[in-house]
Amino acid sequence: MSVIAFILLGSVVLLPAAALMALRWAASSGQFRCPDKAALLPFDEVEPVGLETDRILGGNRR
Amino acid sequence: MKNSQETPNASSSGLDRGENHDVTELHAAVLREKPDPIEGFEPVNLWVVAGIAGLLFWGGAYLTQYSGRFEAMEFSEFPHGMPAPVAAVAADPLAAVKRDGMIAYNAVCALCHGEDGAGKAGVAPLLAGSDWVNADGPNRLLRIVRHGLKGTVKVNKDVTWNPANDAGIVMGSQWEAIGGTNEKLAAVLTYVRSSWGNTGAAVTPQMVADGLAAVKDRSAEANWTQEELLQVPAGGSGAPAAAAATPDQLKAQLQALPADQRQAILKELSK
Amino acid sequence: MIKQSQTLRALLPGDALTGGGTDVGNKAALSEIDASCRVPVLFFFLSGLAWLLAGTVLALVASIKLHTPGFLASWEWLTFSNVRTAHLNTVIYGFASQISVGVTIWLMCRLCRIPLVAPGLITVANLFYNIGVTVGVGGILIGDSTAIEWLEMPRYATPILFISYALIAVWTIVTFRLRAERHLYVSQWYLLAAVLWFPWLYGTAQVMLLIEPVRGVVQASVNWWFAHNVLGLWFTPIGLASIYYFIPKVIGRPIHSYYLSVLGFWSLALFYNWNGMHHLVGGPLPSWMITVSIVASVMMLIPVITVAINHHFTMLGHFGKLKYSPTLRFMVFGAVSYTLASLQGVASALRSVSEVTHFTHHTIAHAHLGMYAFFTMVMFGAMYYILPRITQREWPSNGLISLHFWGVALGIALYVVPMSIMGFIQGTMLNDAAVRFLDVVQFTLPWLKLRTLAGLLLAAGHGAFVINVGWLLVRMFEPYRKPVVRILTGEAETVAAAKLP
Repeated sequence: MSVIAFILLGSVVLLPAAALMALRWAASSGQFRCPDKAALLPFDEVEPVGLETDRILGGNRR
Repeated sequence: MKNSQETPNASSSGLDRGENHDVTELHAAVLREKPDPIEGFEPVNLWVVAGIAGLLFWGGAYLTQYSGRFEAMEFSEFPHGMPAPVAAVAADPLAAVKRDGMIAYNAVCALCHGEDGAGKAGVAPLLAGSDWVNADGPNRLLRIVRHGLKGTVKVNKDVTWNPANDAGIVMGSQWEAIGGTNEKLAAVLTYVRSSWGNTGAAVTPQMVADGLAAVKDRSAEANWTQEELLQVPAGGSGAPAAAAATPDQLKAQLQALPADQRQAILKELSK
Repeated sequence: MIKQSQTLRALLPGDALTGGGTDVGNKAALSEIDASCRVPVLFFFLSGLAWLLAGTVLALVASIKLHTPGFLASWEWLTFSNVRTAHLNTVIYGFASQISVGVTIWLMCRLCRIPLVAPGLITVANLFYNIGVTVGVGGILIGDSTAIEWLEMPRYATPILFISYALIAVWTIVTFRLRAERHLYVSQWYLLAAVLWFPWLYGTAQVMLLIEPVRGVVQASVNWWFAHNVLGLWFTPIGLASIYYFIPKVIGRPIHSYYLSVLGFWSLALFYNWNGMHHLVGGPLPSWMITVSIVASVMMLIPVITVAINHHFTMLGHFGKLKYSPTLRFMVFGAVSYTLASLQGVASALRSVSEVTHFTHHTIAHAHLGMYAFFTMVMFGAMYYILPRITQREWPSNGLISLHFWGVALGIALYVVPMSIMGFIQGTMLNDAAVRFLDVVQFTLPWLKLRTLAGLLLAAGHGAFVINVGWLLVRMFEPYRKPVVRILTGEAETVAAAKLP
């Protein structure tokens, strides 16, 4: 029982603390600052915005 | 940005040139710095914000209504101040007994007599609306369940059931199958006598005990026949009327007893 | 490193080259990332697909048994309770979790823009993970189930699973720490959170339910907290991370609103964790616990609607591309199903609805809408994108792709829609004291046969996919026929033109 109590109380304190730290880290390292840039992250010079990358069906593969 | 370069020309020919010029010049740097904001950071729609606010409000309201004041021992599924609605069904004092009987009946008896008590041609007679079931008392019924029944049976005066029973279809004792207690037998009979339009009175465990006391020495394999049962009054204490006993019936009763008891009686009589 | 990337250049896939054709170094980097993922991700995908086939067979057996109880009745280790439980554990831990890990690893490397750290170690972890699942499912079939929903695997199987999972999680996080791109894309938020949430859920549930069991109704509440959160905090984030990456990537357009995606992530993180106890409406729990759970379930509308708006407006004007891209088809099918599944879930969390739908086939339809129509479809879409890139071969057969898509799309529609309706009617019948239970059972029979039919369609789709993947693997071991090296020296156009019909 005491083991469980420790685990539970520990996680009750630690998990929200971890979530808050993650939020703080995200805010301080500028993760929320330039969303226009973040939205472009899946793209790069090789596969830029405007390039379709999975044209398989319909006869014209790319 | 194209705009910032075209503006000087446009403003020099326009009417409100002074103002236009100032504003664009002031913001020229900003306009040049930022790329075209086409996609990727569309601001959040105001309706979405309003919807979220509405949801949060509903959540708070529901929480206060149904939280049971955050008491550990509060289990009500209803809002504060609303008493839990009482079931509108008139309380049947026998409901639990009938339910108990129904479970045993459906598990054991229904295989032949049917869940609806309609019986099965050639196998088992009907129970719904049967004069045997609706008789004054349960004495015959409890004997049938206790020791079984063989041979043909006339139900409701004119319908003869089980013509094929001579071919070997016999109702054996169901005593153990339904649980082997007076309470269980009483529950099953109460259920049968009150279902499918039947109008028989409830059967108490005491009535079963009294009825079975008269035949407590009878072997479970000694199935009853229609003729034997008709000697037993349906109501009352269930003991066969001694005066009505013919020699044949006495002989049959004697044969129904366990062998050692039969020997004992015969020895007593031969003295 | 340079030597490695040079050898990799020789293996560059055709589709990466016909696009820009300017910066060879960047292509090589992208290809190097894909190549570093090749072995572990392939292992996860292939073993996941093997478990998918096993799970499909078990599901069909269970489904047939529901309307024809005599089917395989003489095999005691294939009783309904065993088969149904084995099906659940096979598809959750064998199939879905393994594909999730494969997709997570690949997405993480792509978005961090670095090759995978220690791929060999992750491959070993995969091997042990599969041993764990095999032991667990075998244990269920021989009757060692713990009888706790979603945690049925016997206790001797779980440590292997947990340790191999921990290895995978640790190396995903190490990869993240070493990332070359400092800014996080929304997919990375989801992936990191999922990778950290799952061990928390699994560990807590193991301790509180199996190792040192809590007593009474607390067990039920922990159980549902775990079972629901596996869906919401492990599978859902990985599915959404995939959608957020692949839809923009395939149609070549950034996500509609990054603000909305951030709002969606943090509201999911805030609300989902509370949801599980809405399964216990009417149960002997203090009413505030269930009420809190219901409120949180309704609050899930916030992340769901933001995600739906975001995906819809991203796709707007690009729906024509569904014709050409299998990835996009599966992703959009999954995204739409996510919205539908969530709305259905919100509705059935309400007390008045739960009274009817709980303990009926409605719940089962809902589970498959979430786990299959949303999550599995998204994973199929991701595999259609990832597999050609890590094997550097094209999909061998377009016909099999179509067969796969239409088989599973029609199959799951035929599963979910009738079962939802039937479950609702079944619930109203069950609540009516005048209707006999046997009549309710008989009412469900034709619908259950329809479900077996739907299951056969799904199985056909899975078969087509597995054949296509097997064919792709065969091609992988053949020498690459196209003159790739010449493409690098500037003859890309001629080859690309020659490829077109």
